[in-house]
Amino acid sequence: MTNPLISLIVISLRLHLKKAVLLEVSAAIKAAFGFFATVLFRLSAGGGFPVVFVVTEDKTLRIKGQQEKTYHPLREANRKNRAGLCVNNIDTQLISAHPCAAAKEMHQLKNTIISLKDITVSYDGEQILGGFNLEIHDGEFVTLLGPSGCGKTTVLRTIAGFIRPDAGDVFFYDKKITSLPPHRREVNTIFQKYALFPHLNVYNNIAFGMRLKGRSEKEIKETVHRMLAMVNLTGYAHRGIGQLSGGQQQRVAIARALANEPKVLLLDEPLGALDLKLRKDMQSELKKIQQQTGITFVFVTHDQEEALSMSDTVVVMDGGVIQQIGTPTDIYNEPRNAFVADFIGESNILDGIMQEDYSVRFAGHTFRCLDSGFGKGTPVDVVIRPEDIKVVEPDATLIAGDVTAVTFKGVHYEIIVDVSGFKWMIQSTEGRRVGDRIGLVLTPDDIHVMPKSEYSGMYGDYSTFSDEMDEDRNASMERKALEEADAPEEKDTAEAADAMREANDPKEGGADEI
Amino acid sequence: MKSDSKLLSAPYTVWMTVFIVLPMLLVGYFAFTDRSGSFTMENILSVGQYSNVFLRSIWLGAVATVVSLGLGYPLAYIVSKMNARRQNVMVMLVMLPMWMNFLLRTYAWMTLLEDNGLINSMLAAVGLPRVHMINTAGAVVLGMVYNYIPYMILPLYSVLTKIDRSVIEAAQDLGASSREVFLKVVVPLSMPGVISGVTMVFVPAVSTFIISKMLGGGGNLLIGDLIDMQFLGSAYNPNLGSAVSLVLMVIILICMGIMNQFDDGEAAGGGGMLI
Repeated sequence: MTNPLISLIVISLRLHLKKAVLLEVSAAIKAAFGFFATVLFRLSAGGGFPVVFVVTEDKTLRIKGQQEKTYHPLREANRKNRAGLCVNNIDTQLISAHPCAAAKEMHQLKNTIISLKDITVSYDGEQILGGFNLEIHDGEFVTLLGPSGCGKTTVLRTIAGFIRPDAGDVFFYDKKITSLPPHRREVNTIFQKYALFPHLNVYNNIAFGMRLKGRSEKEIKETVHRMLAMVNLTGYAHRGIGQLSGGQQQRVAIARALANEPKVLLLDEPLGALDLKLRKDMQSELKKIQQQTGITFVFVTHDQEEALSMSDTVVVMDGGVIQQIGTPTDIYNEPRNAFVADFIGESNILDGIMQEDYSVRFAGHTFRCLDSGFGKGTPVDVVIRPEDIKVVEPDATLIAGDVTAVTFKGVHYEIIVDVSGFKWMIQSTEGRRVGDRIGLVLTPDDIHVMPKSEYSGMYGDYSTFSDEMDEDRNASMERKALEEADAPEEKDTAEAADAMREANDPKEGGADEI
Repeated sequence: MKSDSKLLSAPYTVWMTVFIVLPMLLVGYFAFTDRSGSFTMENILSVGQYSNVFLRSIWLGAVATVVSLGLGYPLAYIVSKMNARRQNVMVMLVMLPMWMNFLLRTYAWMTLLEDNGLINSMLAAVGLPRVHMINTAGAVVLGMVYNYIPYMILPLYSVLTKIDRSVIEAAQDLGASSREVFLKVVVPLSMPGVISGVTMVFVPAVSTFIISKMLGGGGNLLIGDLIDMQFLGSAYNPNLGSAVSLVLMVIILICMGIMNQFDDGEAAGGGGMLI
């Protein structure tokens, strides 16, 4: 047992001593300890012998055993150090001009920073999560998206440490942190209702975490002011929390969390309480901050538009189960089942039968499509996005129907067409009148085929459209009321209006193509 | 509308004028006059000779307040963390003694603390020496704490339950251990409750006379007893009694003013006043 261990110590010491001058000593020691632990675990787990260590040319250490794996102790330490530097140097102007190189590199490395393994959580006998698995990568902007009660906040609170799972484990890099209390985890949370300390002013709120860590007052002062600059609140340091508007409180909460230099920032529907314009503004601000700092963001929301516009990766959840993980474009263009298709954007979901590869029959006709591998005669769900459908004269195409409702949405019209009982939604820049007979054209590109799932049949056509319209109207009225209530925030609203115009631009571009 | 609401408050306005403002003015009048009704400063000046009584009252009141806070805070904190049903039961238990008549409660302590009382009998039964407890300052403090501690616990409890759970989680999230959460978040946020609890225990404790009379004997004369003696007792002198009351009122006002200075520093945290 002694021989390989000693050689291992010698090798790693040699490796580290060379770089130790450049690295922070503590980082090197930390990396070394983590490394030893991993190797020792390997030794004991694999029965130990014979284990051969090879120092390769690129100074990584290779362990030959049942499974060959490369360890990069130096890169690990290096990367950690760079990440630290990157967070230390947050400066809005500076970094927006020179995007943090380390952040980009970290993203490319795609190291798993948080992983949840078989997490089971129950409240009062009701199971919220059952055998939940998720991996979150370093530097990623991950959004957990789903309707209320789908377990997304439970996932977040499990990562933060507020919930101890009944079963399963949480890992931070390779370290098991399942039973680590929240105050000892290197993650910070932005709470739904901000949760600022009402007895402290802005400055002391932001300094709270650093004071606990025993930072010098000089360092704290510098960091607080840097953070305030980052969230555009310079000069607000000595305001009381009660003197701030909702949007400003939100930004203090962001500054307070980031001042702690977390490895992972957890955001629990942080924009839910803001009105629409401010929300758009904060969306782009958060995205900017994430890109500047390179910190991993785990964002929880039920707003699909928010999820699509901000995230690198979207995790769509329902009933405590991940329905789909993917990039926003994947999720939108290739929904895996009817739930995802319905929850993300608008969709017409029809029952279909696969005729053969690249051919599907629905709505009484057979269409060419781009999907294959389902097997002949398999029942499937067919998704057609309303903006993909082209409107023509009724006799020029296979599908024709009567317009039953038209809503003007600004960018486009939403037209409901009754095609032999099934109500389609079409988004078109050209308005139609109720009672018009129109034809619908679908190209193979517009048709997306999904396997049948438990959600099949739950979301079909738009025959309940009037109800949805009512909901829509209620929502916009609520928003208006909120805006009126937030009247003193004129400056913010003006800023937000700009941001909103920006946010709307791509949409207009998209509408032109239809 | 406006005249309506004024009309509604009229009965209390009249009541207040007749039974609160007028008597106060009368107290003021008596304090600055002699028996014949002519103006004099003698009453106020002679209050000085009872300074030991004042000091004892304030001292014992302060000790009782501190003990109540020391005992009441942990209890209120623990209760505020229980589930809703247990909280209700606990609050009930705290209030239960208050349903019993004040005199009876204090009288019960007499029988417990007496040299031949229940406690001493029990001590003797197990062969321990008897302890002299009745007619001591300690007995007075005990009586004060026993009678007034609910007034400490209830405002504390009401403030502690109002502290937003997410604020505590935020502190944990930022790296605070449970001790640090308590000291840096819970305690500052509960200050309004502490202030109103302290006020509600200190003020009646300073001016009590039943407790000191029953449990303190003759050697622990308090301001309350002094005033009692001037109006109802042997040393009948309402003018002096009024002067003592007036001085006591000023002292309490000063104390409350100092306390409220602390409260102003804390921006928010939810109203601590239960009544």
